[in-house]
Amino acid sequence: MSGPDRIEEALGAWRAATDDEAPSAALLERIARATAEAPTPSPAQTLAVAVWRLGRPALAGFAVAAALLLFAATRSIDRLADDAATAIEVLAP
Amino acid sequence: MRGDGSAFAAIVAGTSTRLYRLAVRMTGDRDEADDVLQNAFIRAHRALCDGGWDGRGKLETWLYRIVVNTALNARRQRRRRSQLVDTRGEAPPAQEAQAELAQLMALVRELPAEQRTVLVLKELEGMTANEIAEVLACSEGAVEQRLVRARATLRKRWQT
Repeated sequence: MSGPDRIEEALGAWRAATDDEAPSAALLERIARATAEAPTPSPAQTLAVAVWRLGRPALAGFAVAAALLLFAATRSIDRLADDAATAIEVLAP
Repeated sequence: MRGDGSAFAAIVAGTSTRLYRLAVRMTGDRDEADDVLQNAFIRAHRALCDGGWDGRGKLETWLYRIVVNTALNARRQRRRRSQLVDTRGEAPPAQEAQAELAQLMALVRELPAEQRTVLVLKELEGMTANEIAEVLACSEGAVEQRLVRARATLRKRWQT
């Protein structure tokens, strides 16, 4: 039998050998106890997490909007200054 | 789900057998699989209570991912703890078929984590490349590539 065939056969044997694996009742009991005893978050913690989750994208959006506004304002001031300079040049005798 | 113990118990009842089998196949050791499954369910429970699961995709796929990551972490920790050859779960095989199985398991254990994970999910769990890609949060192409590499490595090292 070739190497690849033997690998396939060994993989099949491994699959068959582990197909019936199941958690013991003791393990399931341990899991049930551990999850029941795990501290559940308080309403305040839950609210804080929810606000943070909702607020994160809003915060990012706000930062982008603020940057755009700042950029636009700077451009406007530059343009105003240019217009004023042009007006002075035109009006100046 | 928050604070609903019976809902989580139903999740455990419905998924624990498949997840335990995966843990055994990932670790090659029942004791370690016990710890992996318990830790994975504790992590899942905490995440569900904190709203850490976004509800997109299948719950079972998400649980598979947690088990895979927990098993990989356990293996990393075990390696850190001891650099000695670990023979747990490797009873000396008496027959030739068992010897080949033991050899394969030893070779698979030596594969890089990402290749071993893909091999276990594909060949032992019978998952499709698409399902594996969802579990591992990578592309199908990456899954196929890791599988090809894993098989090539096994062929090269098989009884050399």
